[in-house]
Amino acid sequence: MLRLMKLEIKKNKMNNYTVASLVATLGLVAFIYFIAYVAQVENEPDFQNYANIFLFVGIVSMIVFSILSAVMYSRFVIEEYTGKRMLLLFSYPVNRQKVLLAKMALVIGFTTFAMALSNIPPLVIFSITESISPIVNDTLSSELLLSIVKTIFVLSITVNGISLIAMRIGFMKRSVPATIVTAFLLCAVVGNIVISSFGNDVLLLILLGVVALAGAIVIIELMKKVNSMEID
Amino acid sequence: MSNSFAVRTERLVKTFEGVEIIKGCTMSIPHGTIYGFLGPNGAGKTTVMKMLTGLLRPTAGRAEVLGMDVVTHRDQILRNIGAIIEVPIFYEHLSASENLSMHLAYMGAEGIDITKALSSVGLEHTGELPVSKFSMGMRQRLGIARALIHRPKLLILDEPINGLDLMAIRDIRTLFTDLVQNHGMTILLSSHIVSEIELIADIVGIIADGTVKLEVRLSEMKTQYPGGLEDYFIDVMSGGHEIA
Repeated sequence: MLRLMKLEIKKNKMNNYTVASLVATLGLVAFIYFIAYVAQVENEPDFQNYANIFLFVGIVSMIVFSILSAVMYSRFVIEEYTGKRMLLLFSYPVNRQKVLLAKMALVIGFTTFAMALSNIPPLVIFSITESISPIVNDTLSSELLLSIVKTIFVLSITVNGISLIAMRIGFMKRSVPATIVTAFLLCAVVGNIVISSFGNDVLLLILLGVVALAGAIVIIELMKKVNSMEID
Repeated sequence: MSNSFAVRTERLVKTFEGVEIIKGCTMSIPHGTIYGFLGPNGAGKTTVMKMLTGLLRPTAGRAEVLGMDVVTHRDQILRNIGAIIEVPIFYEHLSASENLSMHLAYMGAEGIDITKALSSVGLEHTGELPVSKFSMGMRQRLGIARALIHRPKLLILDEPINGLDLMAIRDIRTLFTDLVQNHGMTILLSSHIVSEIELIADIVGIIADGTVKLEVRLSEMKTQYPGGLEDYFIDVMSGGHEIA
């Protein structure tokens, strides 16, 4: 399995995804200051507290990484299993299910890691500067920070569920744009659920369970499918 | 079915959406021979080859490659064959040697001399040039190098000389003959170019309308048809011979 994952890394340009994640992180740092300043200037009450600012940044990062993940699935899975590349992939004496699992494990691992890491700089940098020279007229509490960390954890898992469902739809339609658009639409739905369930651990856990279950179903179903696929 | 054949099919059938494309195809390829698979476009050559390489499942009938059933022993068969089906596909951003290295890793055959394989098809000077910059002929030669680098027992090559110039065709012909005569390989080679098959094959199988009409040793055919394979092929296609 690890060997197959290494081969996937070798044949795909992982540097592009790493650079995209770094750019996204920098964008999130800029974005958090942008929201804080704009809310002050425009006197927007919704974003004059840390909870909403952090939550909004978390949701935006979920959208960014869902799309990044959907792009990765398009390259790693959809393009390989729907076009001529399938002919090459199926010519090897390797268990087809393991190959697919290696691809998905790589995307899931990368997305989870990149999403969780990319949320740290905006959170830490903004918290430090706020403790020195605050923009927002609110108090940072350890409870709030813990709640944000929990939400980011849930969002990191949720991103994978969203992109797996999007990938399955893209696989069915044999379309990369369909994958990306589906990921974006699902983000809108999940984002609203996360916003309305912020601070409610039970609701967050239910969301986590539902999305993880949907992702698992997609993985199992797709593994069965590739094993019986033919190249006509 | 007998183990004395590298490939043996019996009444092989393949249907797509209810339409029978391969209709009871029976063929036998002895070990250590070059089998020329001749047929007009759309006769079913590629479909048969896809079934032999596990890319398609037969609807009915049986097919054995190297004594193993194509349905139940797909991975074992793939480990022991090299193939070009349709147009060779590569990882376009990787170089020729990186593509071969990837291939060997998937085949579980790392450590084989890639430079030697590339020089056997005249691609030793391609360096780091990505495959996306290769001409059609270079891609075809790389496809051949990939098919044989892991030292398979059987090569299944679908129109392997497509896109090659005259010199390259001659070099590849010499290479194939050497692989069979000196390395014990068996080659199943499809083409619709009769003259090419005539120059290289030991046995010719003529497929038309989804079934092998005739199999004949080229040496035997030449005694009956001094005009050569082209006359024979046309005779078979026009119904001059009965099904084998």
